[in-house]
Amino acid sequence: MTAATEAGTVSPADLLGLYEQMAVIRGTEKAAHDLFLQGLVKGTSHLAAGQEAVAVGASAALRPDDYVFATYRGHHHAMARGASPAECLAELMSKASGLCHAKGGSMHLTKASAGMLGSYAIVGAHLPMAAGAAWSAMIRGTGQVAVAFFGDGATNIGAFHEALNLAAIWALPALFVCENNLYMEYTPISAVTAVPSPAAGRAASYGLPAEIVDGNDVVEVRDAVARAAARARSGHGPTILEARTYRHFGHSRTDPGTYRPAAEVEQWLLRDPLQLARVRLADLGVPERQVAEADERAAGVVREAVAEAKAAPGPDPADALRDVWADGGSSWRT
Amino acid sequence: MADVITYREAVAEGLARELRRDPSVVCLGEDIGAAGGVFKTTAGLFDEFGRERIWDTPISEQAILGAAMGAALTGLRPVAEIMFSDFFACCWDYLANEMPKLRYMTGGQVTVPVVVRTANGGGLGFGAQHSQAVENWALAVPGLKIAAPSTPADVVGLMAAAIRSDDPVVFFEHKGLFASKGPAAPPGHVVELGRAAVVRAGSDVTIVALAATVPLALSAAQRLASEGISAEVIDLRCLVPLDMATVLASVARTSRLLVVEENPYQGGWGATVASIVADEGNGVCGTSVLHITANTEDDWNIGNGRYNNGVAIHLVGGPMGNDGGGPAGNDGGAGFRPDAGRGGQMPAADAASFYETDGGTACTNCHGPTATMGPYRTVSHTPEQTGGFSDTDLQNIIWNGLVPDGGYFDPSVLVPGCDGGATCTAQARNAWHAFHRWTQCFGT
Repeated sequence: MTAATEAGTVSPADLLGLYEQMAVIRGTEKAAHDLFLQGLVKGTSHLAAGQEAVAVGASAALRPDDYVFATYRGHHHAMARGASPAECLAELMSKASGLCHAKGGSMHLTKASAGMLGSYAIVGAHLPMAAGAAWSAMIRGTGQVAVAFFGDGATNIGAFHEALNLAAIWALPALFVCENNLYMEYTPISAVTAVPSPAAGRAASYGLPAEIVDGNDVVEVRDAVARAAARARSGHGPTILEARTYRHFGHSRTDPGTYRPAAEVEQWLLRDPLQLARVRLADLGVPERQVAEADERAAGVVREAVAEAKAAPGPDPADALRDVWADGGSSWRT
Repeated sequence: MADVITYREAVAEGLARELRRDPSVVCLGEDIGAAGGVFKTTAGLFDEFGRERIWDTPISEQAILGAAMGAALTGLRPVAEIMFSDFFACCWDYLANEMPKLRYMTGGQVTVPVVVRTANGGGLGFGAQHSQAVENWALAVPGLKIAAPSTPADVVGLMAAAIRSDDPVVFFEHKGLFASKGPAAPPGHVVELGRAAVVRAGSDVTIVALAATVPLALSAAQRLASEGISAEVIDLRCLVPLDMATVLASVARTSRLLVVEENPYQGGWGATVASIVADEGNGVCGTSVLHITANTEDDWNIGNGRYNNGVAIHLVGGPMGNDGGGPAGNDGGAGFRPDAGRGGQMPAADAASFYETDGGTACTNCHGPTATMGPYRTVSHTPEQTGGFSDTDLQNIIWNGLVPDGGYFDPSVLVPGCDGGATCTAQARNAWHAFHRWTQCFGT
């Protein structure tokens, strides 16, 4: 958590730290893409390149013991909460050293020890879970908050609405953070949603406050999450944040994203979160050399992570049925 | 507390005991608070434990189970109620994809100590959408434990075990049993998950039951006793873990198995129990499943000495009605033999009714690519299965058209389009029977 500052302000050192985190995530996502093309990653993957500021900005505003729930596009959230690029890439490559010991894969990155309680591939399913974690925090009186990150597509599924209502009536310390990247999968969210703002536009139905924020501006995200978290911790209930952002890649690895107008893509690339952070760094007087050094450090971390993940052994087939049950086993009969 | 309580009271009692024992236990569900539950199974809990422990929810089944799961991941032991088990369909994602998968797919990083209680089963006239017994839905999902008590004491004991379990448990309370009475559970009563109970000892037949079919089975056993048949009744109590050790031990003594299930026939826990007994019961209830299938070249190439290329089975005995006592025996003088056509005295290799020789063509005369007669060239019993039958089984199959216990007969192979109805099944069985007595294979 960065030092408490007036909204919109950030120290040069803090911002450079946030920038470097985003650079590491960006580099890891690109590496994941390359590893796919090399055939070293099986299954699918939903890359978050372009959406790093949501994860990094939010994490900067949260306590280490807060809870985070993410979607199948969740690499950035795992890393923002402390998962290393090496253990993420190893998971994508089905290696024993992967975050989930090769049992989760790209869509289920989880770092429970850091409060990152899972990436869920059933759209919207984790919003009630975040409400439940917030409920638990309230009952236990810990002052923790629970954050659900979700895509714009999740705003049209029942679990979204059930979760918002429950969180509202129980005044739960929960944050519902929509990463609105404008497309549910291939279809524009505006074409399938009755209100212009798919998340924030639903807040009034549940009597909840909502904010629309620039999801590509890491400082703006940080400040909005800090406000919502403070509100939640003080017993005033949940907040909906709708972070407008854009993914650089298609929906999944098989999707080139050709349904997006070239001009739209070009416009959003100009507003890339790393680029916005560079502008802010320059405004704060941070020398370009320091930014370049951060880029180099990030590239080094990613290079090492790729090498480490590639070199890691695969899982032991003897572990295939481990951990179905809490006792580690899988037996269903006696 | 009273010596005898109802099943309904036992639910509240079981919950209350764990709520008193462990402050991390919380309950949530529709109308479970001041209202005491639509079945009054949470009566008194709100008064004793208050709103901090007993939470009324909106009619939001996904939110109920999702919130319970989130709480279970973060230090509580939530007990969620889904009012009717039919409503599992409204929140099935949590029971199928979320609760049972999360521990595994995170490589063991988390546990999900949640109990999902529900009123299950029929018999109260609530109609098609409020009467289903859906324990088989849960059985189809790896990663869920399943309890379904039949007595008030078991309700309390299994509730304690379920709430203390670090794995997700689906707890089926049977609607038809709520008013039933039984001895109260002693203090500290815990019934370990996955321990069946032999609720009536017997020696002639094993009846395996669950929840509301337990009293039904006990009533049947009582009636059988009056007819001189001694039935053993097993209450499974849980489907996962499934206590097959108790069932197998019983069947080893009785040699007969009856499963009594409040469910559609297909895909149920009874079939699972039967298949395990067939597989592991040392043949006491029959070990083979006979499939008649459209054959493939591979079926024939795999080959089985007994069936196709090697050993043939011959009927011992003479041609004219003197067939040496095969079970069907009475060929009415036709005396057809599969290997050699009609007539001719075949030498007996031993004193049994059948003997085997290498290189015979008993079946390949009629089955398979080399068959030259009969309409069944493209129909076979798979060689492995045929090889797995005993001589006696084969005699019964071939000469009497009788399928061993545990086997089945697919009538649509012989009567195309047969949907299993009685008439066409009888036609198919007659055709098969006649065929294997060689009256048609060599017939006019």
